[in-house]
Amino acid sequence: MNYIIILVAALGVLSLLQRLLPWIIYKSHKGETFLTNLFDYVAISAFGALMIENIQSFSPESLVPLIPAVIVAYWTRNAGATVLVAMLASLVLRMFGL
Amino acid sequence: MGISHFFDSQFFKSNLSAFFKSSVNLPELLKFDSGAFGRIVAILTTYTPSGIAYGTLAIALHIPWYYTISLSLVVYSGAVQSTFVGLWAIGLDPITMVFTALLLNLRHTFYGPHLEEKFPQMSSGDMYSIAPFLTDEIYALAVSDPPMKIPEVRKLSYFAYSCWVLSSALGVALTGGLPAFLYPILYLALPALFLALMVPRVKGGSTALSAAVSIAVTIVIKVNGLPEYSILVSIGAGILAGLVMLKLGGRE
Repeated sequence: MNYIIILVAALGVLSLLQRLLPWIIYKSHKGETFLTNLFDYVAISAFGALMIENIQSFSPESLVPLIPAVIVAYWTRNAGATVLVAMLASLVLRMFGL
Repeated sequence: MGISHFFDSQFFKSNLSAFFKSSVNLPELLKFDSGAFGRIVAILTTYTPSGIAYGTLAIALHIPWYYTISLSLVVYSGAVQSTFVGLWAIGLDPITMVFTALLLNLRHTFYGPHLEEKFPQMSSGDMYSIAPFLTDEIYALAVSDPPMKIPEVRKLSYFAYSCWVLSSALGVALTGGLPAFLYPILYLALPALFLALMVPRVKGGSTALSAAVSIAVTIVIKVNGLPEYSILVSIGAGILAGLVMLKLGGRE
């Protein structure tokens, strides 16, 4: 498990450098609409893929609670509230065997 | 130039002194402007539940507590940390993890330079004391109208960092006493978290297509039992679909 320590450290360094280096080197650039879009696609694609990968099974018990979660995510844009609603919906589904 | 020469150099000394002058100024840290309350509430309501959710999920997926908290301390990126948890759940592949983290944090590339434009009077010390703590939310609040003052940005950055680390630790602490029947429900929290991170970014045709293609390709990968690193194909396909639609004149 030693590689996990190296991985955590590498991610930390990467995270710091990505925030700091461009700011040091690249102080006078503006109007990066294309790149802003590109970063949106990266995030959307990664999160979409990870969402599907982490669904335990394609069953109603896993998929139905995600429906109210989509609505909450859309309206509130709050990750905590979305997770809470999905978990509550799942709990209700399991309690009442719907 | 040798490393010892670097540490003796005027450049290093002046930047180090600027950093401490900017970041370790207690009277300044304890002063708040009129908009501070609203910003603190905004950070508390977004970071605390997400931090608790991250800490809880990580422990539920058997990630040791020290890795969970270390990630919050040194990586400090909800997106990358959630990805770490997600990839841990399906079998952690370090190359996929580093590559995905690199892609996910690329957006930070433009936050610093944009702040530099917004605050032309910003010193090197300000930059060094704010940059490591710059997140989507801090950036958004800093450049919102009316823009914040630099000391306010710094204070909010430190507050948000503390809030994230403490709420992650709270999530870790809360998970220890959970009854067994709650674990299947917790496992659902991870896809819900990625859903929550994805949905607000979908703002039009090309972003919606990007999400749809990435999800569709991942379903094909999952149904066919392909290896975990195939997720990079889904990400690539999603990016490509978005870019093609943008090139063809898709509206945002």
